[in-house]
Amino acid sequence: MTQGHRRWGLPATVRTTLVALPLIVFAIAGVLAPVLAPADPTANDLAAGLLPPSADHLLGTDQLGRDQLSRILYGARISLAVTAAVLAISLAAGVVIGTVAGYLGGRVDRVISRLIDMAVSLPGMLVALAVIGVRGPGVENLVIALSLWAWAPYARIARARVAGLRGSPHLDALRLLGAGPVRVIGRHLLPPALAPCLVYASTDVGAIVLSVATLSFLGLGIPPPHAEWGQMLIEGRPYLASAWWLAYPPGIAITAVVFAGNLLGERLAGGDERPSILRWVRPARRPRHSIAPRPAPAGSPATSAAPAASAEDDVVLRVRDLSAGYPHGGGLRRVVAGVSYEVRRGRVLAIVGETGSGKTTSALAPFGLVDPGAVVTGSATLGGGAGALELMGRTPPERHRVNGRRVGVVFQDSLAALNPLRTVGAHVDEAVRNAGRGGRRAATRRVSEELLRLAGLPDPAVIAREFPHQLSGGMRQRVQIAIALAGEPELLVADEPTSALDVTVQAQLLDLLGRLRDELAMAMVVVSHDVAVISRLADSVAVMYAGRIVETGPLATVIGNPDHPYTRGLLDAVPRPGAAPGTRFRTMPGRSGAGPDDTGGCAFAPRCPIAVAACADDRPVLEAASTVAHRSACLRHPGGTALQPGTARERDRL
Amino acid sequence: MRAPGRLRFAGRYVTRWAVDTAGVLLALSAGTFALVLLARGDPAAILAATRAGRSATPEQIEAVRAELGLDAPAPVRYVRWLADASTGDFGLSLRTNTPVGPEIADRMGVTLGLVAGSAAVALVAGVAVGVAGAVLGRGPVRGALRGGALLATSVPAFWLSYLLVLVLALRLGLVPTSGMAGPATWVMPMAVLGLPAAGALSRVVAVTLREALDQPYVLAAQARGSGPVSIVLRDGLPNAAGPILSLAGVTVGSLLVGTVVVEQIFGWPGLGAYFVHAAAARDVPALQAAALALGGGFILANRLADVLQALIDPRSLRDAGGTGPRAAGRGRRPSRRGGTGPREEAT
Amino acid sequence: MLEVERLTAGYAGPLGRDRVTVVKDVSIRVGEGEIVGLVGESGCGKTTLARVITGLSRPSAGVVRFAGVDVHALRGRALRAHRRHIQMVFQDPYLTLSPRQTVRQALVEPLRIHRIGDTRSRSARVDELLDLVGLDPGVGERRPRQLSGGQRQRVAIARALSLGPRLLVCDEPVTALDVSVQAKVLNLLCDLRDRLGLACLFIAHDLSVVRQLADRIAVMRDGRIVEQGPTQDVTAGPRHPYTRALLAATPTIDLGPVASGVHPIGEHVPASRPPGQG
Repeated sequence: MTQGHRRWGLPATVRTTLVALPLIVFAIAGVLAPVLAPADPTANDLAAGLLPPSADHLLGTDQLGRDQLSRILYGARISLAVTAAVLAISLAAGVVIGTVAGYLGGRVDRVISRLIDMAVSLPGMLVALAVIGVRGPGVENLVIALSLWAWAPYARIARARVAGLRGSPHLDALRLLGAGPVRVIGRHLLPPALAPCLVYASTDVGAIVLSVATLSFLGLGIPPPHAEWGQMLIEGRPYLASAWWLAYPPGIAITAVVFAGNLLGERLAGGDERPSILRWVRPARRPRHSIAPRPAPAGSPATSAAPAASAEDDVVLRVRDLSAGYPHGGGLRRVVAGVSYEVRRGRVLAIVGETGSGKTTSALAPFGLVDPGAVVTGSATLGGGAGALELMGRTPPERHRVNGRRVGVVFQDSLAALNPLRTVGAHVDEAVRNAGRGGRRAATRRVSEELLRLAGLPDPAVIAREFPHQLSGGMRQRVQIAIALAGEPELLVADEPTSALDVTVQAQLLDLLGRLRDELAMAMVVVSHDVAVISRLADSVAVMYAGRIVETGPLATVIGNPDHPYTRGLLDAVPRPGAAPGTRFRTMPGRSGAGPDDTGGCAFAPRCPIAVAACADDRPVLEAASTVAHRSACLRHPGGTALQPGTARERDRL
Repeated sequence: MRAPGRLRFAGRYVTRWAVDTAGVLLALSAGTFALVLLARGDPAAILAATRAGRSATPEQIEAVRAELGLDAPAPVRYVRWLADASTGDFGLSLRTNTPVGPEIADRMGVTLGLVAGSAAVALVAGVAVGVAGAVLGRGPVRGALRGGALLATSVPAFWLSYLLVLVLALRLGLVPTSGMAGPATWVMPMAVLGLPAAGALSRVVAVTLREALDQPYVLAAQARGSGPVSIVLRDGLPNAAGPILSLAGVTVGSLLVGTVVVEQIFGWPGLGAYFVHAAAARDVPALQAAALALGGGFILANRLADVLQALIDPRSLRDAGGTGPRAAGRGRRPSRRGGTGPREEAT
Repeated sequence: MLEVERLTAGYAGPLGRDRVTVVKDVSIRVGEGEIVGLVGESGCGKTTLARVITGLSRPSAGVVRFAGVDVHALRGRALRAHRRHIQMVFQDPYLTLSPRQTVRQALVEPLRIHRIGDTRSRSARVDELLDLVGLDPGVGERRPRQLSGGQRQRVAIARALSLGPRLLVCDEPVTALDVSVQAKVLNLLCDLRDRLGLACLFIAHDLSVVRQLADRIAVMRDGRIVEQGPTQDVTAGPRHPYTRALLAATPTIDLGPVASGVHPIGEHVPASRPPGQG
């Protein structure tokens, strides 16, 4: 995106206009042909036949001595007239028919849809040829012949759009508010149905111009002596080799208009694209953009989420000063900044935060499982002691030796994370082979079934033959766990593993994860937005806000004696079992959504009830709160007993 | 839904598909027949004139009308026409006074050969360029591929053939300008037909493959250590196959229709050229037969693509079965499927 | 005020045949100014029940009475008039607002439909509604995509309130929201009940949310209500095994003596304190 801007140096709207330029010229030429044309396009002058381009005839003359430029201009006029007529008819008919079908639904919809399907599956050119074949050439017949099939795509687009909207809560709400069908269709269904139709129309302009030219070329479109591009080509055919000016201009005119229509349609429909997920991600070198406005002292204990390691060999993953960002407006917009955490064998670290806090990126970035456009810096070491492996700056093939072997990942949306076209067994088999535990097909499948059983799925041989959509959400999540376990990993990373599930299923899955941790002595990083959920599983917690860890420590300490005001706020929002009905929650003012670099000081300061002036300027670092293991990034440290009494007074004074 | 269940759904789907296809073909035949009703001028008069050499007397015209059965009401004529057509009898050409059926059969081979050749060009070039476009990063190579593809779809076939004739035949003398004799004469028609189709196909392949590769299951595959080739082949292309296949169907069909132009330009004795001649002469029986042959081929190509697409995707079969419990999943969380519900509790 | 008696309902299968029954023989009441929580897991028929109560779907058996009137017997003008009494808040705040309308347009539309007031009084009403749900008047000029999930849900609530309903049916209104935002929306619903005497049928899958909000709770499973009663009774002494299972599975922050006793959290942040420096 940024590179595109730099290369062209033009804003998007100007570029779109440039793309559409041939269409604009086409329209102007068509409308103003009588004014612009230097000569009568049908005036023969046999004495001046086949003249090459000159000052008198800018594009030369044809075999009958007619001025080529004038004929091209008049050709635009007639193409434009036919195109406009066909578009108007088919757009109007298509949108109305499609909207009616989509709105009414039921039997009417089925009949109309079938009709649309048939019309779309008819070969348009053939219909046009056949109709003209029996009715004879001429502008009127041409319009009829082209409109007969051109309406169908519009009807299909409009129907799909309206049918999709029909059941939406938005329309339900309107009905409840008393809106009648006229208002619903006119105000809320037609406009959204029209928009994609107009996008399609820009492509259709090219298609129609091409059809008109082709039909005329075949002698079945615009009859002579009217000038038409396709017809000019067929008339000039005998002289092509000698008179190049007869061969090129009409062809170029057609191609330019059609090309512009196609390109414009693609631009309007596509929008900006993201880099492909498969793109070869080069290990991050020093990025061109200044990345850290305020580099934290490397290895300083103040930035780490856990105290300096005592038993080195026990640490499974150690992340230091992890930052991740995306190119944005010429610079880099960070979503995660200076995050450090570590997790030990048989322990579960929960990363907790709200939407957009950077928790998922923090957990997945060490393994390269982020958007390929992301720039990730920092360090992440897998394993302790001699087997330690730096994960940052790895090439994709090197990652394949880590992902799926030493690390297993469970994603949030189990339906999206499994390939819908492959059976569950095929997924697990692939994971087993990737982990180097595969053999012959049957042997691989035996391992897969064992894994499915381990993930608590009964009857694994049957489950393995099912497709993802045939399983419930809880079962799919177990399948993901089985896949993650294929490499007998040291570390399991789970991103919101239970969030879309019913509470009873959720409880079972949490129990399963807990059991796996105990039995396999795996380390786990669990990402969640729900403090209550992870309290069943986690040993320690890291709370994230605006891309940074604001508080971390043992679960019981953080929940029981939170230090950071954001952690407090988060805990206040969790419903309490003993509260009387109607008890209000204590809430935090304002809304989250800031990035790590949006403020110079503490990102939470604008919402913080105990913030002081310094909070807006000085960025707090993680430092010991109640115990060594319990750290919090707050200048005030309200959890510290010494500070507590003074809090209110200091605040009043300010 | 074990394997036999899946087969049952597949069977049900294919049956429904066959009935639908028959319906569309019937509609096509009705549409083709209706061409007679749209026709300007009296077919009986035209044929009578063809036979008599000059203009025919009213008696001659009436005789031809009775012979062709044109005095019966339209539905009756349609049924008769359809019955005859199903045996290959399309009546007499108004232009040549010879039977249309055998002529169509003769020309069919030429056209099918041309379509097969250009379809091969379109599919190979289209898929290769498309995959490259999806996998390559932003850069000059991809830009050139995309621009070329877009240009190929925008150039009118008749003008492209002019350009090729000018360059390949007249200037370089590599191939003959027209005719159908020997491999060299196939180059230009195949290129003119195949290249625009390849351009259109490559754009769809690039877009849908890229979309398929953007799905979370690709991230999940990377997380379990799968390599890029495996991901493109196992996760990318199969999931992109739907739109690609349906466009491939449309492409093959439109190649059939495209023969109308190309055969005309290069002077090939195929169905397309026949169709144009019939249209130019308002030779209704010939027009009907050619339209039915070309249109039928177009529709079959499309419908075949649909059925292939459905057989690839296990989800579509279940919907075709009409008992999909997916409809029950109105809420945010997908509901569990009927038969496996208790398993959740069993664990 | 709202009485649902022996209601059975379902929806048509994929091809218009085989109607699926998802609500079976349900009876439930909501009194004036009362918040009733309806809890159940996905697919238990909660949403279908809500749609039948609001009149979006028709029941196959049973009656929904509002203030003594059979809702599904109403037609034409009477139905339009009735619509004003029961409104609904939907689960997904991203889908309930038209992306093409500004907040102000969305809030004015119901007033236009019912021909209430003139341009000026409608505008004043919109400001009042925005204030009621705790939104800044400046939000009125924004479009939904410029709003956060919580703000969207507030707008949806404001629109539902625009006609002055007496009953609000909320179908999982906080499920798609972050916990801290969820707390604010729940507070808002409590405030509205207190200020406007609004009754509320609050549907959720999360028992922990419902028990802090509702006066009474009904637990639904497989289309039937298996237990209902005052919140304290249901949560403290559940009688149905399913209710017990649901209670056991509901995630809570459980820290033994600390959680059950006086929680240390919040001592430092009095509820009456004005919002922070921002």
